[in-house]
Amino acid sequence: MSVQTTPALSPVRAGVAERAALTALVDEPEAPFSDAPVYSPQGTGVLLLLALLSPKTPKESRPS
Amino acid sequence: MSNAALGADYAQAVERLAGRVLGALRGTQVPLPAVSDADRPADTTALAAVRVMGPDLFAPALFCRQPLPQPDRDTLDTALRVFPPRPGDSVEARWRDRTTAALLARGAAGADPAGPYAGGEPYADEDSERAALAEAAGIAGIVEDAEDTELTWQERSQRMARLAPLALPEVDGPYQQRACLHVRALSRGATRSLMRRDHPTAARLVRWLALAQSRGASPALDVPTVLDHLRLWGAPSARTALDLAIARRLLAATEGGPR
Repeated sequence: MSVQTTPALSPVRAGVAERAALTALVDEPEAPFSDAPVYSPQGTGVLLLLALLSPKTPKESRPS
Repeated sequence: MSNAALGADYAQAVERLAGRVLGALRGTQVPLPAVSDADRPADTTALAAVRVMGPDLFAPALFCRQPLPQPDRDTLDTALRVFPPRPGDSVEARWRDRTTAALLARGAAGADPAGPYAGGEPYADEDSERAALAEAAGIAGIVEDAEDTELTWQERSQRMARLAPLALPEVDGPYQQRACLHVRALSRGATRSLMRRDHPTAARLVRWLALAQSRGASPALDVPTVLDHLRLWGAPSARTALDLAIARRLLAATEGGPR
């Protein structure tokens, strides 16, 4: 009767792809973009137009 | 499997492991539960997650002054063999490996109050295999980055964010000292990250600021308030939540609370 035993599986060294995936996670850079508000010079005209079109302060009506 | 799929697979494994480390850190179980997939020693994905976490695996052990569970030590050993440190790695990766190996070689966590960089022969009492691994990582970490003094606050913040796993109690070295020395640069970096809504980077920098504050430095930010802000807005990932939990524990230690 055979008394052979199965040796425990031992992983070999990681390959290039595994290594690259690991490095990407270890050397994770800061987020490349954000949704923070940024200065937009094109918006200046819109703001000016809105200011001009905004309702004026109500005047007191004179009693007739 | 494509490279992108492999990267996503590893990232998911890291998230799962970070969640378990966070659970061990918040838990009250003594002795600490093992967090790694010790029942799957041949799983490269699980081993990669262990390598990415690196020194963060020791966080519960260091805060609770307990030894790292033996299954985690064995898994870390295997992970260092499957993904060995290489001299071509980035400065940040080399320092993380160096710290991981030093903590592993330290034996019972917290047993060496002088820290892993105290000189002497820190690996003398360990078995030869662990000593060899620790030495390999040590050699990789010896190359000092001479340009470090020339870094702008943005560059310094980005580097320190990648080195955030080194911000742990009872771990000392040049970067822990630099965190205290350049606390203003890190405060600026954290503010910039908050404004960019890059919450993971902000959490990593706030972790350094909490460490600096615990060692007597005065950050230019109200660290507890920033931690609250990030907890409410920016902790969708387990890794970020772990960074915040570690920062909070560091602050609690400063205020004399439980670690």
